[in-house]
Amino acid sequence: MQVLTFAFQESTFALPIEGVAEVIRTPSLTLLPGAPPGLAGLINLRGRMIPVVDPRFYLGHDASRPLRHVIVVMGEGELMGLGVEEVEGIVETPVPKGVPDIVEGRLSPLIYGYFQWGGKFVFTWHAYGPFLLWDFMDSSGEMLS
Amino acid sequence: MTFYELTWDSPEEKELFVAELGDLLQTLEDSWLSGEPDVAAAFRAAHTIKGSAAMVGLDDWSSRAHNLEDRLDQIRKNPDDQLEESLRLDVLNFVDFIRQELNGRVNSEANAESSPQHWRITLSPACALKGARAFQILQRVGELARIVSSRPSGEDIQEFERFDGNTVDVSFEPIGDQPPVDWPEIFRSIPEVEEWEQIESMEEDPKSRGTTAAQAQQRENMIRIHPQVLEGLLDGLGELLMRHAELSHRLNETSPAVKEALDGVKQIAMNLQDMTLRARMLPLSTLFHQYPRAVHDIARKLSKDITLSVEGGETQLDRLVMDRLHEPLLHLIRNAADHGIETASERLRKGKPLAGHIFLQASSRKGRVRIVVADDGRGIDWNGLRNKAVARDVMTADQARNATSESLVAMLFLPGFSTKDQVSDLSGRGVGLDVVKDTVDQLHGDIRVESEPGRGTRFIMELPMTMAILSALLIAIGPVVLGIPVLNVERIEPWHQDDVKHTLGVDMIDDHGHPLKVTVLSQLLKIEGSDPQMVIRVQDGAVKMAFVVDTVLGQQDVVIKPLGRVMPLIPWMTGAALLGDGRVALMMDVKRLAEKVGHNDSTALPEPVAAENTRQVPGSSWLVFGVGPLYYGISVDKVQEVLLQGPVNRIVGQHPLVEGVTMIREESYPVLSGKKLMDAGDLDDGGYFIVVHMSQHRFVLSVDIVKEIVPIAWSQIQPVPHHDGLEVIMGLAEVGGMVIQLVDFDAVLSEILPNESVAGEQKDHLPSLRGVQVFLADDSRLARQKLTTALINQGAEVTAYEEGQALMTGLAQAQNLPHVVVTDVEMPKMDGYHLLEQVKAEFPGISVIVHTSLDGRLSKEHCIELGADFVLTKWDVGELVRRVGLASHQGMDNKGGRTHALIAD
Amino acid sequence: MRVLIVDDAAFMRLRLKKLLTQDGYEVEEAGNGQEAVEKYGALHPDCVLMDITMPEMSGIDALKAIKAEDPGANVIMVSALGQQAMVIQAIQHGARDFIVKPYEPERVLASLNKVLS
Repeated sequence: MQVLTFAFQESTFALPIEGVAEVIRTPSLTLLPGAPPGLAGLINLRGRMIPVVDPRFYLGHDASRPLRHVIVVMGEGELMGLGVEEVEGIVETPVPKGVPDIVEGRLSPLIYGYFQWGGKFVFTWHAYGPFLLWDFMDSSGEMLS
Repeated sequence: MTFYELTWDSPEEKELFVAELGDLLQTLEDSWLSGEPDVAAAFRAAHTIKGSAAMVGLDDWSSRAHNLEDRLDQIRKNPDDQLEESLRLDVLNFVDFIRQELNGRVNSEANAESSPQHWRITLSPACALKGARAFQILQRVGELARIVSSRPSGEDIQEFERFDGNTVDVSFEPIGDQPPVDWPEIFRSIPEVEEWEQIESMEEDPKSRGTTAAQAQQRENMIRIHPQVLEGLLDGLGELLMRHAELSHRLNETSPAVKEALDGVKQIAMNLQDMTLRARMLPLSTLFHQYPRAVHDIARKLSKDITLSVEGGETQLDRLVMDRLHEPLLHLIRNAADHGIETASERLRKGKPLAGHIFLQASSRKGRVRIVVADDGRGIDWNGLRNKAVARDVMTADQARNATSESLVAMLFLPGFSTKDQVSDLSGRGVGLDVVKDTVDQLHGDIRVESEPGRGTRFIMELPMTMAILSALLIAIGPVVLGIPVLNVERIEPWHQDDVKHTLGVDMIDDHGHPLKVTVLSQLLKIEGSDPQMVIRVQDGAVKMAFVVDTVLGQQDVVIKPLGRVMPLIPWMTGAALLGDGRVALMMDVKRLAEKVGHNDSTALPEPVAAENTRQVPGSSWLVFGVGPLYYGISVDKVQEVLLQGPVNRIVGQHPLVEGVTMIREESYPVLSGKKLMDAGDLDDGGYFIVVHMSQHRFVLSVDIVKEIVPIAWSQIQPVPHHDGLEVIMGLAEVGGMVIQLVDFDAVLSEILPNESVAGEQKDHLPSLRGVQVFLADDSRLARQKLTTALINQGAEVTAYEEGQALMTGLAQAQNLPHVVVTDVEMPKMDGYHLLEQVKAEFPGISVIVHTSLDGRLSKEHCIELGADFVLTKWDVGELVRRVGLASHQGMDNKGGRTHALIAD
Repeated sequence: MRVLIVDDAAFMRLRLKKLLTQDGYEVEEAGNGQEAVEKYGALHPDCVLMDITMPEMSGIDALKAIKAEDPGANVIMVSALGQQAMVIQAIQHGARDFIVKPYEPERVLASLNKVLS
């Protein structure tokens, strides 16, 4: 399977390449006042306004570091941005399906499987993962405590 | 001789007869469908039908036509004659009759004759790939019948690929000895097909024959564009403008000639943008043209007589908005036809014209389009709604009885709320009124209902003309840029902090003598780095507010990009606009933002205000209001809220001071008329409701004006000489050059609630107060009377004073100190707090009971802090007596020494 | 009722699958035309939702192959805007209906409903 690996300080993940429209350096991010945590803001992608999700709200990571890249994903005809700290690269590797027990219950809906790479465990998301995050953000408040 | 029995010289002859007859019938029908019948045209049609029918031997038809012709001729010759409704009915019935004769013929004959059927299938406006859909339809038909002709003709595939029409016409004949086909079922089974009808022939729709040459010419010159093409154009232009901005910035240091050229480019791009946006606008007639037919069909199905008149079709609207309006409008029209318009006999009984009237009107003003769907039917069944509300547990029986039409109407838009128990298949297609409201909301519009029982109902929709472009006032708050639709902006002024008056957790500024809610946007939206300098007064419908921002960047026409997913998360945002300099402005919905402010307010507590003031100034805060020509004051501690006047339901048998009841957030409050209370003349005006909470009693005081809150020191208050009658005013104060009369609501309350009397209250459980001496302070004569009586009845000795100063003097001069001092809080000269403090300081052995109508927790705590032995809220006289008893024992034991405070829970 | 979803984008299959299972359908998947034809032969689903553009074996070719095996097969094509010519071609070759992306969930369900009743 071809996956795009991306990382935060605390962890590295991967996203299946299908559904990834493009990867860009974060352009200026328009902040949305009153937005729930997790909605990083809007970016202007060639005239289209795309919302950007910061997954750290759900992953429980420190959200103070800047999101250097945006992975633009496509789903149901819509574009959405996933803000990440670092983008590593595209890897071709078998990814056995299955979520190990060590993964928190909260995170398991996101995860498709994992593989080992460069000495780390890389958890691979479902291709629809970013959209799932969006749904979580919608009903957040309860989620975030 | 019936039609079936006729013999024809040739099939062509028959076809010709049928076709011409069809045209004439259409003309007859058309001439009578509109509000002003075209009698001349109808007459000619009837005349011709009479002739033709006679010629082929259809005498029955001919004589009917003759009948009509005569009557029409009468009217034609005497245009001033009243048009009988029965004539109209007859004309339409005649048309139906002939049509049925013809159609029955055509439909029942599946085998023998080879007379083709003609159908017109209308595609849903949202259908993508119309060519493919048309192909599918024709293919389907082709499987079951022999297609004689069709439009699109389907001779080659290219035609389908180019096809962009909304209707597919097809004429076909049944194949050999196939069983009859249920064509409506076939058409229904094809997705994205909206309607199907049999038409008389494959000729152009006879209605359109009436169009003038000019219109036909105009239609020739138009082309259809897929909306996506326009989107692409707009996106491209947006980007062009951005690149221009970039270029312009980089080429800052160049010659004026270059700058001029760049400007030229920008101008062109902006013009193109403008034109492209306007290309999205279409006249509403595009939507409306199909409704007369729909009404005609519905009317027939319901056996009702209904005309539809349409006005304002030339009004322009963004096609995206129009697309979404189609279903809701259709639903409203069907609703009107089904539920609104009564049957002919019912109308006759009511003395209404036989034909029900549905009125569709569009107009535009200031960038908003208004569409009205009105009917002259039976109006909304208010009682039915009330019953439904109770049955659905949305309201209690009481609430339902008192509910105003506005609140009932709000329920109409709840899902599943139809006053008919079985939703008829016509208006129950899954598009309820709640979907209508949803759609209108999503289009950032408004919908309201007006209805008069027996007279009719009006649905009024207001929508922004286009969702795409907006003239916006851009404002900056810290790093955030917001846009306010220019239509909503009333005034812009520099901001001064001192202009704000804090009223019970709500900040207000003056707006020509009326309070206007003001909110600092950086605080509301939690934006950092803000430096508020300007205040903008806005209005959206009935909502008026003021927003404080940093700077006003100016006015600009911006292209709004919808934000789909993001919208539900940030309800006050309607979209994002890309500015020329690359920044993004967030467009706001004024009404929604005002709602957000409202939510924050309702959680604010009134107490902090009172506490602040009473600690700093020896006095308290009073809310100044006006009734008639004079000003009055009410203690801010008692005021819960100030609202704009709402609807009042009159109640019979209430105290004359009480106007009725009103509902505030689903609780009912008696409304006290300020005018009646102050005896201030005529009973009109009134603009505000002051919501008062006093010792478990709540009511609303209706007044003309609410001015401001002022602190008044107790020493400033002049007591008013008492006289018989209702002691409404407890004192006067001069504030800012005007005299304010301070209202004593204790007296008012006890006047209105006479059942709060003391007499007969559990006399047996009351302690004896023999030998107990009590000093009592209360500015209300009534209160002094009540308490004195109650205490004396238990054997106590009572000395009563009007206010604190007098009581202190009394103590100083007393030979025997009292055991207990009972005091009110609100008194002129020296209030209860100060009295309490002084008594405890100078006479620590005396127990002090504070007896007040103030409800607030903080005022109670304040009393206890100052050393009160007990704090009681009026009016529980029995409890007071008991407490005096307890306190007297305490006091008696420790006379001269320190008293333990009997802390009230 | 069993439905076979054919699309080379796993994400699209997933979303569709979620939608259909929620509505009570049993769902099978195929990632390309060849697989679709094979699975059709093996499982005989009641309906097929076939994406038009797929690498190697296109939706049209898969449709033709399936129809050759089972002339009564119910195949609904899933296409994007601008593929009208291919859709018409598909209908000519026996596709029962078509859905255009991006689709509304109700559209898909309505179409399935109509085709299967």
